[in-house]
Amino acid sequence: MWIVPLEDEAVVFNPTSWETHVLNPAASLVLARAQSGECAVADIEQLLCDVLDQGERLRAGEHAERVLRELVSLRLIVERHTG
Amino acid sequence: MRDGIGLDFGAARARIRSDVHELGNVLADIYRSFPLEEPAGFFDVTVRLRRGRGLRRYLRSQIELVFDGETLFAPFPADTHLPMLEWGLNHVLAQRLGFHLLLHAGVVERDGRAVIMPALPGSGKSTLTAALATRGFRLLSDEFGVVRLSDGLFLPLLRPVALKNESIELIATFAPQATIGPRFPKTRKGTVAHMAPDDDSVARRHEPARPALIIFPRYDPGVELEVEPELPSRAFGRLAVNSFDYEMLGPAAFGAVSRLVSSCRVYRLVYRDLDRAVAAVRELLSSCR
Repeated sequence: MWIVPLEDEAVVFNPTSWETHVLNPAASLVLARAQSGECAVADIEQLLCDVLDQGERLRAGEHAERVLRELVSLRLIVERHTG
Repeated sequence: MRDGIGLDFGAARARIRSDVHELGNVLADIYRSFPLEEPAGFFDVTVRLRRGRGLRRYLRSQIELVFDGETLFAPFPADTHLPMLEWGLNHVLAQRLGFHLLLHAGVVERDGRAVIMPALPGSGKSTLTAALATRGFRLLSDEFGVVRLSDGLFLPLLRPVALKNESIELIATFAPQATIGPRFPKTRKGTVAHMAPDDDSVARRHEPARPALIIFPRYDPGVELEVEPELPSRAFGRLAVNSFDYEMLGPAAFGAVSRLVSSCRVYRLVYRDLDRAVAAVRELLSSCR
């Protein structure tokens, strides 16, 4: 997978699907984190919590779930269930 | 014209054969600065523009364009020979040059820095390209931004600028010294005329240019002049959409477009007055590396 950061966004080329995606800042951040290794939903929630405006922090879990769902649907990350 | 004439556009060479007698004089005018190539040589494409067969040779006579033994498009009226040839060349060159990234864009250059103007048809791209080409910019192309994948430089694919409808008189008034060929009314795109490339652009048609500035132009008679920076991610999408072969090239195209967006300044420019638009492009380019 090729990822090119463009300011706080990113473009991604997925060689499996041959598709290009433009990612918003949150999705770019999450994908970069996922690239560095396996992580839990709670890690992503914390990651977003660190960059969200104060008023949005309470909704970090909701944002994390939505971004993860979108990245999974684009086949840029895979979901693993543990336990 | 039966043996054909050869033309070297820079990034590609074409051999043109035709039994349409009127075409020869028009080509001689519009491609006046191009040296004629020996038609027996190597060419990337060979097209044949021929008069219709049977009754269509005489009754409301038509012409057709043949490439690789196949007829392209439905026949055109015989009096639209040059527009058909130019559109046909666009079509076949887009097929044959798939080893470069091909953007639907006007490209000009000044002081070694290329200005790339990608746009959808009808946006005013050709008008602005023609205007810049008559004000000290070297013309590389009106239709194709040809990106060499090995180094990201833009190669000229130099052909006449196709002007349509109101833009014909606009450029004729803006640049009375420009050579504009005959008007072809009632084509599928309205009235079409072609502006010949200048001598310097033709002489330097093998000289690539380094991309420095990307402008998404739009003609709007209700707007004096608007220049706004474009988001890099949005510019990426617009370049990919304006590419003829992005999907086919895959990762190579992705890399080329990424490098372009990362290395160039990118703006949206809405204009109605050509003098002001040209001045704005000059100013933007002067701030580029």
